[in-house]
Amino acid sequence: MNLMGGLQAALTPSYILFAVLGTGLGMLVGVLPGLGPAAATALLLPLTLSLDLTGSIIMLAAIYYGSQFGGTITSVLLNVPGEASSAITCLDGHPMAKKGKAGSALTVAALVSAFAGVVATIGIIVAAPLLSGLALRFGPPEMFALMVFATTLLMALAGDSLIKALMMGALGLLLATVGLDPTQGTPRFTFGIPELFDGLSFVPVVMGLFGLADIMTAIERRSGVVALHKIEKLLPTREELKRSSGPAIRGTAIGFFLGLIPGMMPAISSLLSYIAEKSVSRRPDEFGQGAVEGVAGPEAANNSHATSSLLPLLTLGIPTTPTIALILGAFMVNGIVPGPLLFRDHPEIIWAVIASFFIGNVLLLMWNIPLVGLWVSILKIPSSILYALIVVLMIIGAYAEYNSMFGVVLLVGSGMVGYWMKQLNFPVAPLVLALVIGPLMEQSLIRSLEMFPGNAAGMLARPMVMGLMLGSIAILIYFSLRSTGRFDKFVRQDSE
Amino acid sequence: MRLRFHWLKSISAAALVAFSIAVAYSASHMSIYSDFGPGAGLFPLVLSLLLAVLTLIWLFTPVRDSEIPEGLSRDGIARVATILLSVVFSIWLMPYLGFTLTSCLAIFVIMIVTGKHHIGFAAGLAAASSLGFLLLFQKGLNLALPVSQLPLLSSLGL
Repeated sequence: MNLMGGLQAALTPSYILFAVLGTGLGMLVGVLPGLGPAAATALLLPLTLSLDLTGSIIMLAAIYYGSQFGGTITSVLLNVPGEASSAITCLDGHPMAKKGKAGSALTVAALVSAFAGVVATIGIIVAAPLLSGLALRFGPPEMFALMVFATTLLMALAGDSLIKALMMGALGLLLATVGLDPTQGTPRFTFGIPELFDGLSFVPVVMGLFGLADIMTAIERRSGVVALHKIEKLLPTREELKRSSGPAIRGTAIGFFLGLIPGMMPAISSLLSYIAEKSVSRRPDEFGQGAVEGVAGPEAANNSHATSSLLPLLTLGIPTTPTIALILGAFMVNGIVPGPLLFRDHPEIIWAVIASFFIGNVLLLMWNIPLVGLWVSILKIPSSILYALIVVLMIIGAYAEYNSMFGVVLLVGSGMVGYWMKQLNFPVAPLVLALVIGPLMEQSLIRSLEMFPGNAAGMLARPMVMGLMLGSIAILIYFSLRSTGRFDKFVRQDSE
Repeated sequence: MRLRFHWLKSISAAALVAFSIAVAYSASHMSIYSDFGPGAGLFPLVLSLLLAVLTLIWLFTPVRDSEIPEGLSRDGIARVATILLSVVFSIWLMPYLGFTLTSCLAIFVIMIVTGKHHIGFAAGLAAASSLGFLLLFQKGLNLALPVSQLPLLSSLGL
């Protein structure tokens, strides 16, 4: 099975239906402020057990990259980003809407996003076999070191406080130890509760941390009546399309490479793309006043980022964002561990999923351009109704995970913890990623220690392990100096 | 509000340290390392100690103004409590009343308290959506949702 085989599979009616559902749901969660792709993915995760695995992964991935499209609509029409990655689009997208160019802004955003998604998918097709071939040479010590490196990078980039990110990472890894230990099968922190023997399910935990906590935060600051800008003319002018082509290419490149870095959120790609466009533009004074380049670049960057961030998962088994960690979870609950062996052992799944990205991006164009009115109508539904329905959907999802109310208890507990974390500005992403990656990391560590009995430091004799560990330490030192302000002081002193 | 925030930080740090110590204590009673290699307690012991140290560092790190959250309004607290209590009551009620009636109640209460909708509209929408969810998940996706213990409702499959 290769790409052509995958394309044939992805074009079967059932997989197209999964892609339609995924992109539609992605658009919906992107449009709804307060409900992100992580909560939506967690909500649907229990269903992957009763649905076809390939179809489920196609749907979950489509939710992720589809949400990047959806977030733009509220940024342009309401000046409220549906997703963090669309926040920068408010700067020029909303002024365009004020000038009566909302349709142009949305169409340009959809076109460049689809372009970026397709280009990033081609990038994945080229890079994935190379990267997975390289990863096949990894032993348990290299895998452990890679996970440490990825987790460290993620914690360093999450939020504005390194110490809080590290705390959440440690808490997530600790929660991941609940259940039977991977070596001797000893129950750990199960308190005699049978549901905990398989570990703490991340479905209710993620729904609580992201979904319930987000709803509680959003409902706490209830917004008033939604005032939407009208969409008069949908098609952009030739001049606007011409001005968007350069930013689309540059944004795609920025997003693709930053998407490969664990912890680098799509919002960072959007921001860097915006800065790049402003710096290369011959009309920098137009930025912030409704420059189409300020919409095209960031939108291309965030969609390219969302697509390319799936590459480390598919080739190395390393999730780079909480939503991708949940996609990893979908593989794992079905007995498949993503990583280099995926291309060898399950090519029918992996190539169908990758090929579906092409279809998904075309579908998103349809969801966005002819059906934009549908999303505008959804935006007019009062949040109290939407939140009431979402809360019940979460209860169903949490119940389904354990087939008992224990899942709902976990949902409430996680929701309260998530709300507490938001009050204290703790980043949620490190906790979720550590919770998902924790069992894999512990297994790799144990296997590594077994390879070097009585001489754990022997692992460091392997060049890649040494390199990754030194890299992790360097990241920690750099970001701890930066978070305490000492790095800037040091640089200033040096330059003086 | 600043004083309250400092209290929240101190209480949170104390809770996290207590949690870490409890986990470390439990882990220390498991096998840490043996001739066969690492034991069940090694990973949690190291992590709990790390969490305790990190929490203490955080506790004594000065709070920046940007970290202090905005205060909560009384209405805001009421809305948050409604969401939370509706889920808590669902846990309690669902085994007795079944999924349909409990979710109908939860949707109705959330809509009335957080959206101040008309009672008739809220009741209608709550009933329609809970029945819709039942049909979608139980009939469509074959997911067994809790059925009421009340004879009348259980005879209707609700």
